Amino acid sequence: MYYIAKRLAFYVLAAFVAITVNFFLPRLTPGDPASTIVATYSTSLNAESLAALKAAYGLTDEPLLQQYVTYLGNVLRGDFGRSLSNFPAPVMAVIGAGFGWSILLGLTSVLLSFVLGSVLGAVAAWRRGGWFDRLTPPVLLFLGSFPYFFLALLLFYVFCFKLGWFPMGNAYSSVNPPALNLSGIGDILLHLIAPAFTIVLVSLGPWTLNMRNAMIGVLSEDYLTLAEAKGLPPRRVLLSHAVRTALLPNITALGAAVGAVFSGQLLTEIVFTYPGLGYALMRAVSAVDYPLMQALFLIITLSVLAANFLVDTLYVLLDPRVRTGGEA
Amino acid sequence: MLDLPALEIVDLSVGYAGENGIIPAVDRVSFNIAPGEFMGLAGESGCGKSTIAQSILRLLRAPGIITGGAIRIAGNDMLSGDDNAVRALRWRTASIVLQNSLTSLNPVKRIEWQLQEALNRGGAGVKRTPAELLQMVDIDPRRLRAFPHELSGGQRQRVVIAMALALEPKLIILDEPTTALDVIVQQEIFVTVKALQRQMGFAVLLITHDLPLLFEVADRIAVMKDGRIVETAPVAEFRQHQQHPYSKALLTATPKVDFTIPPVARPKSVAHPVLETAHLTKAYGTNPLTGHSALVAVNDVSFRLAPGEIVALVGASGSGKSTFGRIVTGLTRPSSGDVLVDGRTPVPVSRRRPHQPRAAQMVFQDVYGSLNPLHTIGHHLRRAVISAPGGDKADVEGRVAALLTEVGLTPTANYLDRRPHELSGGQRQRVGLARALAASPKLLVADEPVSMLDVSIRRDILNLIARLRDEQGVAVLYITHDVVSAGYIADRIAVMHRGQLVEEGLAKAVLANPQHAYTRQLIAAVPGGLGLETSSANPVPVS
Repeated sequence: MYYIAKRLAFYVLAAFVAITVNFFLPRLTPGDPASTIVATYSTSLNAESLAALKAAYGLTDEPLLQQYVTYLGNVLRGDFGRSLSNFPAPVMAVIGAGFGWSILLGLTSVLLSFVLGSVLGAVAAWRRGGWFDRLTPPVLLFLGSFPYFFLALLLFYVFCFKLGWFPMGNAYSSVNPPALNLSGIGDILLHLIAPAFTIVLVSLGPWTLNMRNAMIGVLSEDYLTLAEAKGLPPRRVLLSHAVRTALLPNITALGAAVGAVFSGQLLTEIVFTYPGLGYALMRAVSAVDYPLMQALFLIITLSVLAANFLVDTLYVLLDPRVRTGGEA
Repeated sequence: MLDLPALEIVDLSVGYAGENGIIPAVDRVSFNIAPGEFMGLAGESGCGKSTIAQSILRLLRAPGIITGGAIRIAGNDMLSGDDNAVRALRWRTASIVLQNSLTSLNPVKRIEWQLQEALNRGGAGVKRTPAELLQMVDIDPRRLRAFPHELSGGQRQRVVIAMALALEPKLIILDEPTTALDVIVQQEIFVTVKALQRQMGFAVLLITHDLPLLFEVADRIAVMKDGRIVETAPVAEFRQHQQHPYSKALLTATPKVDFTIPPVARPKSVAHPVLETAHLTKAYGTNPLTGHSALVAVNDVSFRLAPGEIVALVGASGSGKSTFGRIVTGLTRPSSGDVLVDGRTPVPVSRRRPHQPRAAQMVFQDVYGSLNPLHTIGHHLRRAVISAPGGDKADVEGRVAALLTEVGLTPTANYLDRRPHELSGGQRQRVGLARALAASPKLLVADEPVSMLDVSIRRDILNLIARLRDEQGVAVLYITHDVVSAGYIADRIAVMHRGQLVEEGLAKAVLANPQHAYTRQLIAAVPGGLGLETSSANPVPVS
C-alpha cells in the first residue's frame, strides 16, 4: 500500500507539471495563438466584437499568475474553452465525441496484440529451435518493419476498396452513433476490424520477441527444473510457472502501450477516417485550432500517466517482490 | 521390495552433443544406494556429478544425451519408459534439492501454494498439509503465506527439502544444497535432514565438493573425476586410507589449520599501522529526526593492521565484513568514525586523481565477473600499470611481465593475448591479484577470494597470497566466512558478528581457545573440525 501511495504521489506531481507546462509554453512563445487570431480579425471587426472575441478566447490583460490560477480551476472543472474549428462548441464536447472511439480502437488493438504476442512468444520459447520458433520472429519483424501508413493504406486498398469486405472509414454506418443493440454493436465491430487489425499486425513483433526472450530466461531458472522434477504435466509447468513470471516484463510494456493509444493511432485514424482523438488532432492542426490542440496534448499526457499508474498497481498484485519497495 | 536398492545405476554414460560429435561427460558409472543409506558423491566442478543428478530423474536437457546404461529408483526403470511414465515416477520415487535456494522457488507464488502443488502430485491418498511439511523442517507454519524472497536462504532451502519429502520418496538427491549458505546454517540443515532420515528412512545422495562435510554426514563416499568414479568406500574406511591418488589429492587440498607450527611472533605494536580504524560505523536508512537506523552494518569497529600482516576478518553473511572492506578501499563512506589507510583517508574511486597513492587495492570474489570478457589479460594489466601512481612508466610491458611472473603465470607471453574465458578460475584469480599489485599497494583487501574456486586450487591461491606478503611485504585483509582457511593463512583473526568485532587475536589462539560464544558456534559448525587428522592423533613435538 505504501508503494502504491508513493507511486500515486509521483503521478499526481507529474500531472501537475504537465498541466503547468501546457499552460506556460504557448504563453511564453512570442505571438501566442489566441492573440494571433485576434490580430487577424482586428482590422475587420469593430472594437466591441473584438472585445467579445478576446473574452471568448480567454484573452485578458490579467497578470500571468492570476491567469494560471484561473486556468488551473478551469482544467479541474474540465473547461478548456471553445474550439475554433467547431465554434462555438466547447473543446470538451469535441474531445468527448472522439474519446470513446479512441479508447475502443486503442484498447482492442493493444490488448489483442498483447495477448496474441504473449501467446506466440511463449509457444516459440517453449518449443525453442522448432519450426515455429524459427519462423515466427522473422515474419513478425518483417511485418513490423513496414512504414505503418504504407501497410495501412495497402490493406485499406485491398480489403476495403477492392474487395469491399470492410467499410471505408468511420466507426459506424449511420449518421449518428447507433443504438447499443445487437445490430448496432455488430456494425461498430465491423468498422473496428480493419483499423485494429493493421495495428495488431505491425505491433505484434515486439510483444512476441519480448515474451520469447523473457520466457527463455525463466526456463533456465532452477524453479523450472524443480517444477519438471516434481513431475508436473508440461502444460502446468508452462502456465503456472513459466508464463506467470515471464509475463511481467510485457506487463510493464503494456503500460507504455496503453498510454500511447491516444497519440499512437493518429495514422490509423487518418487512414481509416476513424473519428477518434487522433483524427480530431489532425483536424485541429490543419484548422489551427489551438484550444483544441492544447486540450488534446494535455489529455494525451494525462492518459499516459493514468495508464502507467494502473499498470504499476497491477504489477504490485502480480509481482510480490516489489511490494516491499526494497532495492531488489 | 525392501531388498531393492533405493538407487541403482549401471554403466551410465552421458554426453553433451557439440559440433564435433558427442563429448562424454559421464563414462560408464555404476553405483548403488541401499534403502536409508546416506551416500556422498564428491568431485570438482566439471567432473560430471551434477550431470548424474539430472540424469537420475531424466531432467537432462539438450544438448545432454544419455548414451547408455540403466537407472532404477527402487526398482523403477527411469530410462526406458516414455515421458509420461517417467513423469509419473518423478518426485514419488525420488526428489531433488538444487544448489541455489534463491531461484529454486517460484518468486511470485506463496510457499503454501508451492508446497500444496507438490502434495497434489500424490493424489487423494496424501493426507499431509503444507503446514505439517513446514513444521517437519522446523519452520513456523505461520510463514505459509510468505513469498520466497521474504525468507532467509537457509529457510528457503528448508522449504525445498520439505517439498522434496512431501510424497515420502525412497531417495532424495541433494545437489550442493548448502554451498551458498553459511557453515552454521549448513550444520543446522544437515541436523534436520539426518533427523528426518532416521524418522522416515529415505536414502540420500549428497553431491558436493566438500569432503569434510561428507565425513560428518555420509555413510559411504564415491569420488568422481573426469566423468568416472575413481573410488567408492565407506566413510570410516575412506577417512583412514584413500585408494586412489586423486582422492588423496582432493583431501589434502582442503586447507587445514596446522596447530603444530607455532605462530611466528610479529611485532605486536607498531608505530605506523597500515590500516587503522577508530569507532568506525556505517548505518543505513537512518531517520534524520530520531537518529534510529534501519540497519547498522558496521558498528563501532576499532581495528589495526600492521604492515606485512595477514588478518582474517571472519563472519557470517550479513555480519558487515564486506561493508568494512568496502570502507577501507574507499568504495563506501562511513557514517561516523575514522579510517586511515597508510596514514590517509581512503578516497572514493570517482574522486581519485591520477597518480594519487593508492594504499589499498581490492581482490574480488567473482572471478568470472571481475575481468571484462572482451579484453585480453595483457590489456587488463597494462591499464592497471599505466594508471598506477608514481613509478616508471617507460617499461610497461616489463612491469606487466614482472606482475604475471609474481603470481605464477609463466611463461608470461602465453597469457598476454588470452581473454578471461580461456583461463581457469584459479588463473583468473591470479590475474586479479596481479592487477591489484600493479599499484604497489600497502594493503590488499581480499573479499572471499577463493570461495568460488574449486577446492584443489583454493590452497594454491591462499599460498600465493601468503607468498606475496612474504616477498612484497604487502599487508592483507582477508575477508571470509571460512574459519578454516582463515586459520590456514592469517596471522590474526578478527571475528565479526552483527556489525561488531566480537573477538580478535592470534589466529591459532582464537581457533584453539575461542572466547566469544559466536566464535565457538562458528568453529563447531565446521565440518570435519579444524586440525589435521594426523596432528590430533599423534601430535608432532614442536621443534
